[in-house]
Amino acid sequence: MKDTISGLLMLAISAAVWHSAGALPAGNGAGLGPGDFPRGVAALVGVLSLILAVRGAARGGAAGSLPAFGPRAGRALVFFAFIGAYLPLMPLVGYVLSTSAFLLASFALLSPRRAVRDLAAGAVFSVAAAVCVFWLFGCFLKVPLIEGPVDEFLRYTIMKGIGIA
Amino acid sequence: MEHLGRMIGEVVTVNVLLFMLVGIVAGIVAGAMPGLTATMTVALLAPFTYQISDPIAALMVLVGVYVGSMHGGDISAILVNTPGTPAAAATCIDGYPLARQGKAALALNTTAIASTVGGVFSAIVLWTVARPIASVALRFGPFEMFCLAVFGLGVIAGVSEGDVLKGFIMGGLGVLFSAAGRSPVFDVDRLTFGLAGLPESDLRYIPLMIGVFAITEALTQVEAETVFERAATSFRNAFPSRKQLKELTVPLGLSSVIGTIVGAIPGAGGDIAAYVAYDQCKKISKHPEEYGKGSLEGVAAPECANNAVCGGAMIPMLTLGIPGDSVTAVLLGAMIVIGVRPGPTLFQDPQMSLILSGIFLGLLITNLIVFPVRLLGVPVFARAVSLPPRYLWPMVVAFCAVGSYSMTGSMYSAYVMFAFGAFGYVMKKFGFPPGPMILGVILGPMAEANLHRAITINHGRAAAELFSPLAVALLLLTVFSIAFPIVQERRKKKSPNAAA
Repeated sequence: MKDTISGLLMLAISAAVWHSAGALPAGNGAGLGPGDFPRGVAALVGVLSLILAVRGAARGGAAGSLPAFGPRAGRALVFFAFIGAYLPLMPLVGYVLSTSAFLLASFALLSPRRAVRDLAAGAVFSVAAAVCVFWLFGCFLKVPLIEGPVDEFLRYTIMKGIGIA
Repeated sequence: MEHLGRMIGEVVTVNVLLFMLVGIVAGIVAGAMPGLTATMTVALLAPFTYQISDPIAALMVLVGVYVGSMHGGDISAILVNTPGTPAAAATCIDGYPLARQGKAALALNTTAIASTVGGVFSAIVLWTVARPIASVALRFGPFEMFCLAVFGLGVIAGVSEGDVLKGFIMGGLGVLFSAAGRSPVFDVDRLTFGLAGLPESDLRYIPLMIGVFAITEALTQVEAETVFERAATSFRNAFPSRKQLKELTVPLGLSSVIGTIVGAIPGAGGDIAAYVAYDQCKKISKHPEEYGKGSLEGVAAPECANNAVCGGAMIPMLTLGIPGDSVTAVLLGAMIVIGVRPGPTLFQDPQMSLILSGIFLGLLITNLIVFPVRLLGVPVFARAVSLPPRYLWPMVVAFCAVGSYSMTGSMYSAYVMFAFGAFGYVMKKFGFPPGPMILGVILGPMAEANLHRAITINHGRAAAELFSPLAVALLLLTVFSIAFPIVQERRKKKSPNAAA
C-alpha cells in the first residue's frame, strides 16, 4: 500500500510535469527545446513510479503497510503548524516578536512538564535566544532580517545605546 | 613560490581563521549531536556564508563545518553508543566499550589524533592530484560533460539508503525541481504551475536544501523524541602512550589511504570508508582479538578513514563538478551560490585560481586547527550530545527561517523551505531518501545545458558520432556505479550475518 500510494503520487507529479512541459516549444533537431529535457525526465520518473506502484501492489507485506507514524506524530504535526504560523507572522510583527512566540510555543509543546516554573524558564530562553540571534545575524553579521517596531527599537535604541549595533 | 606566499597571505588572515574556527566549532557541535548531520549543518549555514564578502572566508566556514562534523561524530559514538553522523557508526564498536571501561577521554583523544592524521593526509592528496585530474577533464566536450552529469546521477544508487528505485525517483524529481522557473539555457519560464517569481536558479538550492534536510529532520526528531543520556565520565586528559602511538602508525597510514580512495569514489561515503578501514586494520592487527572489546586501533582506524574521506570526496567535486555524496552535493550547491562553480573550468579561471588554492590550503589548515579545538573543547562538546529537544529543534527552525529569508530578502524563499520541509517529511515516511534529490537539483542543469550544446554542435551528423570512447567509458562507469550498490545490497541481504 505504502509503495503503491507513493508510486501513484509520483506518477501524478510526473504526469503534471509532462503536461506542463508539453506546452513549451519542442526542439527542432538542431537542439533541445525548453520542454524536451523536463519531458524526458518526467517520462523516466513516471516509468520508475509505475514500477514502484506495481512492485508495491505485488509485494504486499512490509511494502503493503501504510507509512509508520511514531507515537508522537500528532506533536510533530502541531510543531509543523507552529512553523506554518511563524513564517507569515514574521513580516507582520518582525523577527524578534515572531521568533520569541514561536520558540515559546514550541518549548511548551516539547517540554515533558508544563509547570509554571518550566514555562517561565522557556519564556526567558525564547526571548533571550531571539534577541541573541537578531543581534548576531541582523546587527553583527549584517544578514537581512525582517524588522518590526520591536526590532527597530532594539537595534536603534538599546543595541546602539550600548554600542553593539 | 610567489603564488604560495600570496595564497598563504590570503588564507592565513585573522578574518579567515576566525570564520574557519566558527565553522569548525559549529561542525563539531553538530557532529556530536545525534540527529544533526553534516549535510544538514552545511545546508543550514550556507545562507549565512552568502553574506560574507570574502569568498575564501565564506568557503572556510563550510569547509570547517564539513571537517568539524566528521570530527564530532565520534563524540556521541564513544559516549552514548550512538554515532553523531553515519560515518561514525563503526567507531561505536570499540569506542563505547572503551568508555564503559572508564577510558572515554583516552578514546576521544585517540580519535582526535586519528581524525587529524586522516584529514591532513587527504588534504595533501587533494592538493597534489586535483590539477592533473582537472586538466584531463578540460578535454571533455559537451556530450562527455553530459555523460559526466549522468555518471554523477548514477551516484544516487550509492546514497539511496536502502531502496535504489526510490532514490532514482527522488533524483528525477530533483532534476525536475531544478528545471522549474527561469531556464538559464532557453531564457523562458517553465514548470512554474502559476507560481510567479521563483528564486533565481542558483539561489533556489539553499531553501530547498534547508527544507529537505533541516525541517524534515526537525519534524522527524520531534516525532521520535530521542533523548541521549550521557554516561558520567571524566575528561581529564588521557593520551595514548608512545608505545600505543607507535602501534597506531600502520593502521593510521592504511586508513588514511583507504579513506581518501573511498572518498574519491562517487557514492561511497564516510560510513563505507570507516567500515572498510576497520575491517582491513583488524586483518593486519597484531591483536585482532581486542577488536570489539575496546581496541584503540578499533577507534583510530574508522575515525582516520572517515576524516580522510573529506579530502577524497572533494577531488571529484572540485575537478569534475560531481558531488560524491549528500554532504558534498550541499557543499557544491553552497559554493555555486557563493560564486565558485566547481568543475574543470574552475582550474582555468585565473580569478578563481587563488580561491581554489585557498580551498586546498584551507582544508589543510582546518584539519590542523580542529585538533586543538577538539582537545580543549571535548567537555563542552560532550554536553551537546544530551541537549534537550525542546531547546534544540525550535532553534534549528529559527535558524532555518533566517537562512532562507536572507538568501533573497524575500519570504518566498522561507515558504519554499517550508514546503520542501513538508515534502521531505512525507517522502521520508514513504521511505524516500532526501540525498538523491539534492544530487538531481545540482546536476540537472549541467546535464540539460551540455546535452543541448552537444546536440546543437552535432547537428547534421550521425548520432553515433556523439559517442566518443570517453563518453562510452563514462556511460559504462555509470552502469557500474548503479549496479554495484544494488548487487552489494542484495549480497548483504542474502548474507547469514545480515542482521548483525
